[in-house]
This record gives sequence, structure tokens and C-alpha cells, in this order.
Amino acid sequence: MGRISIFATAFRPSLKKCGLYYLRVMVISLLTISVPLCILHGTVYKRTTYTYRAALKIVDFDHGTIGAQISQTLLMQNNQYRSVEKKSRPVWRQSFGEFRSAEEVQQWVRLHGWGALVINAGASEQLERALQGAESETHNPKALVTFFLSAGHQPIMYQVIESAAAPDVNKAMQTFAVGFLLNMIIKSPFHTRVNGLFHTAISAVLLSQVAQAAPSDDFKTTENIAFYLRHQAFTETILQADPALSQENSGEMPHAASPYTVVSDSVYLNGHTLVATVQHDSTKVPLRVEVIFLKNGTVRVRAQEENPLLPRYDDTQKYVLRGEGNNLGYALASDLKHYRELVDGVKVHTVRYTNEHSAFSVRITEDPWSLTYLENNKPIIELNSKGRFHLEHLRPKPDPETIGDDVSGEWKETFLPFTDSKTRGPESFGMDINFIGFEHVYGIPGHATPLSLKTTNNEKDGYNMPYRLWNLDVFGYELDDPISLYGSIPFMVAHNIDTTVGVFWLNAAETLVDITREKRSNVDNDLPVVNTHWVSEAGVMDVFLMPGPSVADLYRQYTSLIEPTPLPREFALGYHMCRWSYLDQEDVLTVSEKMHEHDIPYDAIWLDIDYTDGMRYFTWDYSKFPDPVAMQKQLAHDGHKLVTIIDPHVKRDSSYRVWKEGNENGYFIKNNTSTKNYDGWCWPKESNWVDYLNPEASKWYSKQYHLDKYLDSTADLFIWNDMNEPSIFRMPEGTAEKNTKHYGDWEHRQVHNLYGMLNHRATFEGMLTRESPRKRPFILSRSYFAGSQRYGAIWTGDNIADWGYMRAAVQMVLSNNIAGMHFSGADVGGFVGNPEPELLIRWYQLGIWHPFFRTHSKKDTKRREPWLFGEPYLSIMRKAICERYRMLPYWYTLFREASLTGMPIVRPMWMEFPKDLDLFAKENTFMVGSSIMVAPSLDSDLTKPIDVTFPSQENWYNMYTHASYFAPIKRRFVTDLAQTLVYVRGGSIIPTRERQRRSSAFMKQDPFTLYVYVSRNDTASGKLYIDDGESYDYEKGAFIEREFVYAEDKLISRSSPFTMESAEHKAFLDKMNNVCIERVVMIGLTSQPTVAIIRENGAEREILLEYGNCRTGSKCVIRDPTVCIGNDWEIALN
Amino acid sequence: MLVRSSKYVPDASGNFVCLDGSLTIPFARVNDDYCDCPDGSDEPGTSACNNGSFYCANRGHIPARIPSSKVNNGVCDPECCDGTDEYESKACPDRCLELGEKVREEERVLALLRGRGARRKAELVARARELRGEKLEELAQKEALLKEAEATFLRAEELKDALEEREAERTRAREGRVSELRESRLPDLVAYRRFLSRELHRMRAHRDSLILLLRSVRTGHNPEYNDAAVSRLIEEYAVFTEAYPYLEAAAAENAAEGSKARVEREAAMDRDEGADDVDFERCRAAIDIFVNERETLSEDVATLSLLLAALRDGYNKNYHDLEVKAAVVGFADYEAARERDLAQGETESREIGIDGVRQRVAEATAALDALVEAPPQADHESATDADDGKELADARSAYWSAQSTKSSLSSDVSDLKALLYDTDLGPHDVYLAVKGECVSLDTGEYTYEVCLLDRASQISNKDQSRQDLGSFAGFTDGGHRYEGGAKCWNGPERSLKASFACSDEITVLGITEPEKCEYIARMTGPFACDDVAAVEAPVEQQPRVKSVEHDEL
Repeated sequence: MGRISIFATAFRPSLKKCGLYYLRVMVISLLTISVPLCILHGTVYKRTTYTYRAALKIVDFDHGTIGAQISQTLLMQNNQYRSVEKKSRPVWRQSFGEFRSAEEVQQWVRLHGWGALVINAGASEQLERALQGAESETHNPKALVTFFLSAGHQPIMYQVIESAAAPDVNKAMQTFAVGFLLNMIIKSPFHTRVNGLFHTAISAVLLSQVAQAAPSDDFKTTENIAFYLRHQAFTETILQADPALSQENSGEMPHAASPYTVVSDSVYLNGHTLVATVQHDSTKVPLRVEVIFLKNGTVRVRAQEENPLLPRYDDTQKYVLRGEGNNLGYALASDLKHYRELVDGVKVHTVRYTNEHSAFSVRITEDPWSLTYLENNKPIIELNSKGRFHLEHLRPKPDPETIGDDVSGEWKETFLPFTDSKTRGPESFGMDINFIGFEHVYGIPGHATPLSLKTTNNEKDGYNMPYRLWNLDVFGYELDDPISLYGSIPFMVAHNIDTTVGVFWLNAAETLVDITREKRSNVDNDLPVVNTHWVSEAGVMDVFLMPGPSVADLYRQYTSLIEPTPLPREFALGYHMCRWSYLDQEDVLTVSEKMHEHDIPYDAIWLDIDYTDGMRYFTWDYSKFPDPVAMQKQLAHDGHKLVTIIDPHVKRDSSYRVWKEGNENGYFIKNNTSTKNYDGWCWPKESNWVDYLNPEASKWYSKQYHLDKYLDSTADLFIWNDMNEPSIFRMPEGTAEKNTKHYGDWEHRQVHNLYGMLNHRATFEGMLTRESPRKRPFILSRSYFAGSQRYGAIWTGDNIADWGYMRAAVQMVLSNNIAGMHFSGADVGGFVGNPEPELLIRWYQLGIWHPFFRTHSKKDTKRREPWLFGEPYLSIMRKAICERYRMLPYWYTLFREASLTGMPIVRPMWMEFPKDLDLFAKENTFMVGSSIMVAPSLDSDLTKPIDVTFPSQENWYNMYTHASYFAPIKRRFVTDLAQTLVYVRGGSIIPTRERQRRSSAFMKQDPFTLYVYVSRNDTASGKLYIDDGESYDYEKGAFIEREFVYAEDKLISRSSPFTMESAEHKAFLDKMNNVCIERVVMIGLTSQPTVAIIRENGAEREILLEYGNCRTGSKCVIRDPTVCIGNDWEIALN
Repeated sequence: MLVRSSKYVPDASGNFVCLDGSLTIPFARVNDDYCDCPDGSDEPGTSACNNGSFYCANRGHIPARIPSSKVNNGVCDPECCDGTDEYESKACPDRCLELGEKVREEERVLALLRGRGARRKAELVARARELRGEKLEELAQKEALLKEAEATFLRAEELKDALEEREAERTRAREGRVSELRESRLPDLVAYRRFLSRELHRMRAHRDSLILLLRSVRTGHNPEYNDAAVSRLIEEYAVFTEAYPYLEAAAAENAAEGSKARVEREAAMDRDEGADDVDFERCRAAIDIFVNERETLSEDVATLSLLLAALRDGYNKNYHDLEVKAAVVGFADYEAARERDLAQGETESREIGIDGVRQRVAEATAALDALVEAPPQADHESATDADDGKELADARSAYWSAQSTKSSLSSDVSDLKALLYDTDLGPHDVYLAVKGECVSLDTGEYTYEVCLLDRASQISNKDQSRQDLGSFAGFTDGGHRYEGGAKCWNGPERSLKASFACSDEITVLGITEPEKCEYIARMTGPFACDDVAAVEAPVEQQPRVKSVEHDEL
């Protein structure tokens, strides 16, 4: 993307002739500066020798941000004083109160000076107001800054100075514009309604600047995070005490210099919990450490003060864990054995857990305290072996004298103009969690970073700052940067060829994760170790260690904690059409009609904020949408749904019912003294935020979605929750201040990362109960946390129409899947900017292989409905979208699998091929389920070849050409725009629906086609799950789940073991009575059958395999076998 | 279902050949809900082929063809009013008669409107014919007038040129005086510039020494003495260095270079500057800048001296802060040095008689400025000159007036020619009569105005401010394009596309902005109507809907 100059438009200064002098007054508008080189007197002398001696004054009448920023930038120019090539610069000098008005400055310039830049009084304030939209109509940007330049003494010199000074002023203005506007707009993420001139000018700045410098000073770096710095300082003391710890090649198990030791004789096993008292050598504050054993091998470690001065926030588990964390399936006490030993003079406790499935043990050393998780007597995870464990105990506030400057920010810290005063004082904690024998760790989304997490102590091939988890609205975020984005899930997976293990750090406060790598000398070779250091600002330390060892085991363990993704509403897997915004009712219906006209299926059309009455959610702007119900009915008639945006900010307006009720009942988040509502600013300007921690508030909010409250909504309307980090304009990092108060007097600090999920949850509850019997809701959220998967889908936020962001989408969606947030996708085409048609097409071709598939675009972008691009683009886009619809049975079956097993839907390659070292860092291909490998085309250069590694010992088939590849093999492909590289693993049976309809709603009675991709040993298997796609009747058996098995030349269909024989099941079978298999396509047969014998319901018939297409290695079509989907049947090939 | 179309009959061997000829299949496979033909032609009655189409007879209404994806999808598609598309569920009743009647009624109303529109269009064409005649006549008249005006203009031009040549002669003479004056006064200017340059060298050195003194106090003082005067000095000096951070570094650099290097640097500077001594104007510019720099320097020197003076008067003599004491001593040395320099400056002034030099420079400058800037007309040197001036002014005024008459006529002529010969006014000049006619639509916040074949605008209802949406740029599919309007920030130039439906009235029905700054207007007007002859034929013979080929089943 090229830089876009904000100073593109020329502003012609007026030239006034007055006697002997030319006084040139340049009025400079904020964003339009141009200084034409005016040649009045013929030759322009090259007066560089002298110009640098000319002084120009900066006169600041504003004393605000504009003045400060511009003066600073201009004075910086002076530092070029000595450098020869800058000799021609005039010198900028600050004026200290010698002028009282712009007129005086003007007079001075006329008589004595060369020039002056005047920042007019009130400029900053005026600009700010205009940006907030308050005075955008009347605002005159030209009144902000005035530049006087005199040609009085010497017209010739005027030109020279002008040409030298103008670039300075330009630069100062640009620096200011970028700094100030980013501050205003990105943080208030840019969507501020800014009229005319500003709106687009700013977007011009942002489009160019954001891509290069987005997380500017508006977002914190680690230097601004006090608690993290304190833990770094603690680490320093540890390293000084034991330098060996910092070595990259440390010995075996290093002896940490940790000051934390187990109090003698305090360790005891109580049922499924081992309890120990740990204390710091000098503070002596006793900490209670609990090691809790779960039946499936998961070990939970909790730590906090034995007698905390104040209760620590411990309700995160209530919102995240299954059954509010009350029944996690604890190990039987009889399966646990506690041994005490003395190893090298140190007391060691071992708890051995043996049950019918596995045997593992946990070892705790007393001095210093550390914990090792051993599988088959091999350590796999260690806690505190690097001595980073440190818990800041809650303490009474010392008197102000003793606090002094509080340089370590224990009671107060500042960021930009914001002060975070902490009434509870320091309460953070951190610990190192080390993965022994691993090189790769994954997860902890959401970051726009490669899948295999990088080290954070090394800028060269990693980062120089930790991965941060603190949900923020980062418009046009940077790529390959560990800054925090919209959502976060503190779940990390480590994988090596033997085992896959996981760590879940259950904490919703700000958390930073450092990653380093080392090699430990081992008997045979160097043992790789990934060291991670987790630091959280508040709460109880609560971490789950999951032993795997297989990927499937790990996800069983993980989802037994946070629950799997439930079956979504089926339409939600279709194509979503979104734009900020479709203009009005007519526009929506016209777009829908056009989709039909061009034969492009879609399931839902979306409305962004402008459909509301002044951003009052749950209302309509009836001037644009005169009859929303009629519109929804028309859409529903054509098989489509409507999705409307409902943001969590509530417009502060006493005539707005929702605000009024929320306010009267005290349902909003409170300020830091809990005395009144926390007031912030978002789309509707002054707003308040619902406090979902208050159960009453959450319930009340849910009810707003009911059909009797959300007027003119129908059962065909679904919801999109945006801005729920929460995004609050002009607040630190664009979100709520940490010391604002929630229900129960908890600070925002403790619960921030939960906010988006709780908003999502409340919406889910509301949508779930608006109909009886209940139907599955569909809600898209932007912010998320562990547990969000229960409430709907998420997307990766405000990305950019750029090839790099499409590549990032691959990483981000996979990373979310790794962390259990399966139903995710990125804005296809990119939200900001206009994609070239090639990029849009490639993104469609990628997007159809992501669980959530939506196109979205920002307000000032060009329309991008497929037909606007003409041919060949239209046909290629249609083909991609139709491909998604063709594959819907496979997708729905994958979601079914995920709802049972917790397995990711899209998977990194290593997950399917865990023994293949080459694949551990691979992310240019990924798996959809276990059968399909996608190698997306992600480069603007169509001729750039794509390298595909075909793993395992299996054969692979190109899904479209049926060309086969015998793995292991690497191949290189070049794809034209219409081609995509999608491969099916031999041995798979893929169900599809080939009839193209307007939406998934019209496919429910359509027949299926089965593709049988034969393995090397002539077998294949696959699954199909169907239900009504919208109700919860499947819980009572109203579904069909088939297993297809091909072996010994016979394809059979049998019901899965999950099938429930119930009345509901029977009823569903009846409903699907006429739904059959219209075609079976055999791919990769080694024999040449001529006839298929079909056995179904005791009857038998034959189908000739004709057209001579059943040759070896080619595809072979069994035409119209008409075996029906609910039946057991068998097709034998002879 | 019965296959009635000739295309759907079995061939001699009981087979069906796909319509694209690519495949032969048993006839039983036609409409058996399985797609055999690559072109989808074997399944005209089912949804089995994605590329197939389904024919609805729609008896009583207009037959239609729908994509096979709409067959048996559970929706009564309005295109198939006979409901045959949902033959499996039979859920869709035949509404063709009812719908057909309604459509025919609408058609009758439309036909009336089309009739009126066509008649209005005929009127427009007739009016256009008249107008063309009128305009042609006007063109002939204007062309005759233009010929006369051109002759007048040529005469006026001759006279003016002659008088201007006389004037130019005089100006050249005056320029001679100017350069004479410049040459004669250049030595004074050079002397003055050199004097200033030397003075600046000294002043820069002053500032440097002051800065170095202050810097040493700041970095070297002992903070434990906590001397209020020292603290104040440091505080105030910090304000200065913050504003001019480069000065301290520069001073240090200068101090470090040693006196020899310094002399060399200054000499190099003098050589550089000496290049300006060859030209009066350049030298004069240099002087202006020197004066400016002198002001800056004396400001700095005064500020910094004040700081040190305050230290000298206020520091606590009981503290033995060597750095502070050194600074006080250094300051005394500096003041003495400055006295010497001032004295040297005065000596120099006397030697070159600077007062006289300055006086002569000022006089020369004033005289030159007067000469250069004064307009020739105001250059009264004699009565004759004054008369000549008036004569020239009158000749010029006559010349301008003749030129203006000529160009106004010439533009009238070319406008008329462009309109009559080069403008696309639609068939039979139908737009000639309405070109420039404006119609508007109030949409609440804005009123949109379209002036036919001229321009489109958006007018704010709040303050009546007008945004240009573009000028007429041509016809597209019977509609108009207006392009090149006011540019959007970071967006395109505003533009508007208008499409027309037939009516006897010209109206704007609706305006949308489907994407930023690109407007779409739905309009009506008689020029979108058929000709009277076509309209007045009986309605039944109007094949309004394209007939659908009957591959009916």
C-alpha cells in the first residue's frame, strides 16, 4: 500500500500587494498545506548560505496538544543546524509570551521578522469537538493554525525561506495529524462519525499510516505495564542469585534461586487435592498451594494467600468452566498415592496417579518449591523450575510518605494522560511453566502471529516483547506482532513427536506471556525446552496442566473444562453478506434480488450500525427501513436471514427506553468510586455500558432481545455483537479504565477479558429464550475468551484489504481453533480499503474453508458484490461460494464432531500428522477436518509457485481434477485465478450436496452425493450428520448420523453408535424419508467393476456402471443408486 | 409429465440426445431427477442439473423460465405463477389468471401513460425542430457581428502597440539609472555587509562562551549545597536549552575546534558570503538576514548574560562550589572580553565611517525601491509624460473593450455551433427543448437537482450549500451520466447516473448513493417513451415480455 499524502490538495494563498511590501499570509488548514513556489521576481537566488540564519517564530496561543506537538517537531528541525545539506533551513524559535494576539505577530512579521507560525487559541479543543461530531458542520479547519511569512525585506528571500520552511511546517503538521488523529480515531477506533472534510482526510492518513505504524503510542508497550516490570525486576534478582538460570544450555533440572519454599511438614494429601504452604523467605506471608487431580489426568494448580487481606477475584472459573467449575470429574482418592523422599538433601513429594487408562505422577520439591508433571517417569511440564514464581501478597496501603514516588506503580500508575489508582494495591503474580522435550508451542490467541509461537527475548527471529492478553479494539492492527487484539484465550499447546500437552491459565486480568527456548544437556543429546513465563495482574493463580498424550486426548481434557462448541444453527455455516452499511430496506432487497439473479447462494445479509435510530440499539431508523418486518419476511421467503448489529454501549439518553431502564436499575458499570455510572464515548457519543457481572443486569439485557422488546424483529433475525472489548473511545488503549467498578465491587482490572464473552453470553441467553420451543441462536462477537465458543462465532476484527492480512487470517483462524474457538473467520476481502479483484477472489477461495465465512467492508470502500467485477471474476467468485454450499454436509458433520470431541475444525498440519517434524511449523497448508487439505493461494503474484507437502504414507487426490499424489512427496504448483489447491486424503468418504440453491434453507430435502477416495489398501470411511439445523430436538435423537465404510469392494452405510432410538428420531427419519444418495463417485479404484449391486431394505437391484468411466485410477460414477439417507444399505462393486 | 416440445421426443432408437449433442441417453432418463447431460438439457423439469432451466407455461399470464435451482425448493417462486415449479409438494396454487389480470390492468394504465408520454415526446421533437431554426438564424447574425468586431479589435491593437513601444523606450532609460545607482552604491553595501559579518562572528562567540559557562555550572555544580541561585539558574537555563537544544552542542563543537580551526571556518564562511558582494540585490538580501540574525543573537546573549549576572549577584559565597565560582570568574572574563569586542567594533565603525555607509545604503535602497516598484503610469516626470500616460491608458482601455466584445461574440458563435452541430441531443433533437431544464427531489437532509444535459447538484436543506455532483458527460443505455463533480476526500470525484422511465413529466423519483460519492437517480421523462406511432398500435400486439421459447413439458 502506498503512502497517501494528506497534503494533496493545494491551497492557494492570497497575495496582497501593499505598497513596497508583499505580505504573504498563508492560512493553513490543518490538513491542507501546500506552499507553491511563487516566482515573482524572476530568478530565485540560491541563498542557502543565509537562510539558516533566518529565525522563524512559533507562537502558541492554544497551549494544547496541537501547539505542543507542532512546536516540538519544528524545534527538532533545528537539530539539523550543523549538517551541511540542511544549511538552508531557517531556525525555529519558540516565542515566550511576547505577543498577545495574532495581529501583533502579523505586525512583527511585517516589520521585523521573516515569518511566524501561529497556533490559534482554542485550536485543540475545537478540533476535538469537531472530531466528536459535535460541531462538525460548522467547524472551520482553516482557523486552527496560521502561517505568516514576510517578503517585506527581500522578496527574493521570501521564496527561499518559504521553500525551506514549508516542508518543516508540513512535517510538523503531518506528525501532529498522525499522532493526534490516531489518538482520537484509532483508539476510538476510527468509526467516529466525522463529517465531510475530516472523515475522509483522516481515513487517508490512517490507511497509509496504520499499516505501517498502527500500535503507536496509543497502546502500551511493556514499559508502560508496571506489574510486568515488577516481575521482570524479580526475575533479575533470581538471575543474579543463580546465573546458571539464564544460560541457554543449563544443566539437568536447574536449582532455582527462588525465594519461595514449602513450609516444613505443611504438605498433605486430602482426597484429590495435595495441599502445601509456600512462603517467601523474607516476607513470610504463607501461601496456600493446591494441586488438584482430575480423573482424566489433568492437574490443576492454584495459589493464593492462606489468609488474604482482601478476597481475590476467583469467579472467572464460574464463567469459564463447565458447570461453573463445580464438578470437574475429580480423581478417586484411592487412585492417588503420596510418597515422601529426600533427594540430594531436598524434600520431595511424589503423588502417583494410577487408573485403568494411564499412570502419571506429580513431583513437588520443597526448597525451592517447584512442581514437575511426569508422564511415564519423564518430566513433561515443570512449574517454577526457573524460579520465576512470584506472588505479590495483598497488603495494607502504606501512608503516603512511605509510598514515595511509587516508581514501581504498586498503588498508582499513569499512561498518557490517564492515571490508574489502585485501591487494592499490588496483587499480581507470575510463574514459569516449562515444557520439557518440546520445541514448539501454539495457541494463546488472538494475535496476528505465526502459529508456532516465537521467542520473546530476541528481536532477530522472535519478538522483544511478550505476547499480551488484554482485549482491545486495534483498528488495522500490525501483522507479526504480539500485541493484544480483540480476544484472548490463555490456552497453550506444546507438541513433539511423542506427545501433545496443554496448559490453561485461567485468568481474565491482563496477562503477559514470555517465551524462551533452551537446550538442556541430556544423556543422549540436547533436550529442547520451551520456557514460558506467565504474569497476570490480579485474581487467583489457577492453572491446568493437561497431559494429552494424543491430540484427541488433549482436546477431550480441555473441553471437559470449557465445554465444546455446540452445534450451530445450520444457516450460520452458509455465506454471510455484510457491509458497513447496506443503506436501506430497498438496498437490502435489491442486493438480495441481484444475488438470485446472478445465481449466487447466500444465507444471511447483515446490517451495520446505521440501521438504528441514532445508534440506539434495538431500534430502527424508519426513514431508511420503513417496514423491517416486511423486509425480514421477504428475505425469509427467499430462504435468507437478517443479522443486525447490537453493540454493548447504551446511548445516554433519558428518552431511550433501554438506557432509562438500565440507569434506573443501576445496571451499568460504575466509576472508580462506585458513586455513579462510568461515562464513556462510543458511536452514540455519551454512553454507558451494561455490567454483565450483575446477574440481574445480564438477565434484563437478555430480555431486550425478545420479540416483544426488540420491536420489529422477527424469528429470522440474528445478532452481531461488536465493540465488546469493550471499545470505549478516548479511554486508555480504547477500553474501560482498570479501576472502574463492576457488580460485587470488583474492578474492571480483574474481569476485563471476560467482558466480551459475558456480553455474548447475555445475548445468547436472550436469543435462546425468545422462541418456544427454543431454537439455536446465532451470534457473532468480536471479543472473546475461553468459553466464548458456547455462544457463537467470532471474527478476527478490523483487517485490511491486503495480501498480508489474508495470510494472517490463515494463522489467526487456526490459532483460534487450537484454543477451542472453532467458529471463527476473517472478513473476506479485508474490512479497510478496496481489494483488487484478484485478492478478493483468493480471499473467497480461502474463506470458504474457514468455519465462519463472511464478506465485510468499511463504509468508505467501494461496493464489492460479486457482479460488480464482471467476468471472469463473477464466475470465479460464484464458483467459490457454490463450493462452500456443496461442502455444507461435510462442514456440518465436522461441527457435530467438534461438539462431541472438542477437536478443532480447521487444524494445523501437525495435528493430523503428529509424527512429521517437517510439519510442526507449517502454515501454508491446513486441514479441514481430517480429510481435506487446503493449500490456499496467498500471493498477488499468480506465477509464484506453491509448495505442497503431501504427508504420511497415504495417497492424496486433487478434489477437482482427481489427480493423485503418493505421499510422502513434495510438489510445486502454479495456480491460475480460477484454480485452487484442495486435496482429499485417501481413505476418506466425503458427503456433498451438489444441487445449487439460493441458500442452505432450500437444500434440506436435496439428495446427497458421496465421494469415496480410496486408500492405498482399497478402503475408505466417512461420516454424515444431519438434523433439522435449528432446534434442539437432536438432543432427543432427532438426527441421522451415518458411518460409511468402503472395504472389500463394498460400500456400506450404518448408523453411528450415537444414534438414539426415540420417537423424535423416528419422526426425523420420516421427515427425511425421501432424502437419498443420488450419486456415488468412486475415486482411485484399482479394480474395474462393471456392475453395482445394491441391497437396501431386504431388496436387491443392479446398476450397470456405464459410459466406460470406471477405469482404473479414474473416477467411477454409480448413477442414481437411490439408497436413502436414513437406511442401512450396501453397494457391492463387481 | 408429458413432453410436448419437439425437442423432447425419443429418436428412432428410443434415445435422447443432449441438446448440445454431447451425449446420447435412454429417453427414460429425461426428467428422471438425475443430471446426465453436461448442458443440463435432460432435466428441464427437475432441479437435478445446476445449469438447467425449468419452463413454466403460466397459462393466463406470461410464460417464464427459471433456473432449476428453484425447482422443488419449497418456495412458490413468483416467476412460476402456475405453481408447477413445486410439483413435488404441489404446495403452490395456480395464480396465473389472477396475476395475469392484475398485470394486464397495470399494463392498461401504463399504456395510457406511455401514450401521454409519447405525445409529449412528439411535442418536444416538434419544438426542437422550431428551436433549431431559431438558433440557426441567431448564429448567422452573430457571425456577421463577430466579423465587424474583429476588424475593430485589430485597429485598437495597432494603436496600443505603438504607444507601448514608446513607453518601453522610456523604461529602458530608467533601468539604466537603476543599474547605475546599484553599481555606484555597491561598495557601501559590501562594506556594511562585511562589517556586520564580523560583528556576527563576535556575537556568536559571545553566545558560545556564555553557553559553555552555563553548561559547566549545570553539569559540574555540587547539588548538595542546594544553592537557590544555582538552582534557579539551572531551571531557567533548561528552558533555554529545551527550546534550542542544538545550540549547546554547537557551542561545544566550536569550542573544541581550537582557535585556528575557528579562524579557518570563519574565513570559509566569509569567502562563501563574499560571493554575494558582486551584486547589489544579493548583498542587500544578505544584509537583511544579518540584521535578523543579529537581533536573534543579541536576544540570546542578553538572556544568557542575565542568568549569569543573577548567579554572580545571588550565589552563596560561603559554599565552596568550585564550578560556580569558576563560572562567576569566567563571566567576569567574558564581560571584559565583550567590552573589548565592543570597543573594537566601535573602532571599526569609525574607521569605515559606518554611519555614513549606513546612511548611503538606506538612501540607495529607498531610491531603488521607489524606482523598481513605482508603476510607469505614476512616473510623473513632466507634463508631456502625463499626457502620454493618459493616451496609453485610453488606448489600452479601448483595446481591452474591443477584445472583450470580440471574444464574447466568438464564444457565443462557438457555443451555438457546438450545440447545433456537435452536441448529441438524442434522436430528433428531442433534448434540445429541455436542455438545462432542472428538476429536483427533496430527500429530507438534501435536495437533489438534475439540470438535463447540464449538471447535477446536491443542495443541503440546512444551509443551502451546493455540492457539485458532476456535469453532463454523455448517454449510457438511454440514461445520463454526470461526471467530474466535487472531489470526495480520499474518494472519487462525485458523479451521478440517471436512468429514465417513460412519462409525460420530467421528475426525479429517487436518489441513492450505493457507494461513496457515486449517486444513482431514478427519473422519468418523455424522451424515454416510444414514438407515437408505436404506442398507438393496439396493446395486444406489443410483445412486451420477450417470448420464451417453448420447450414446454
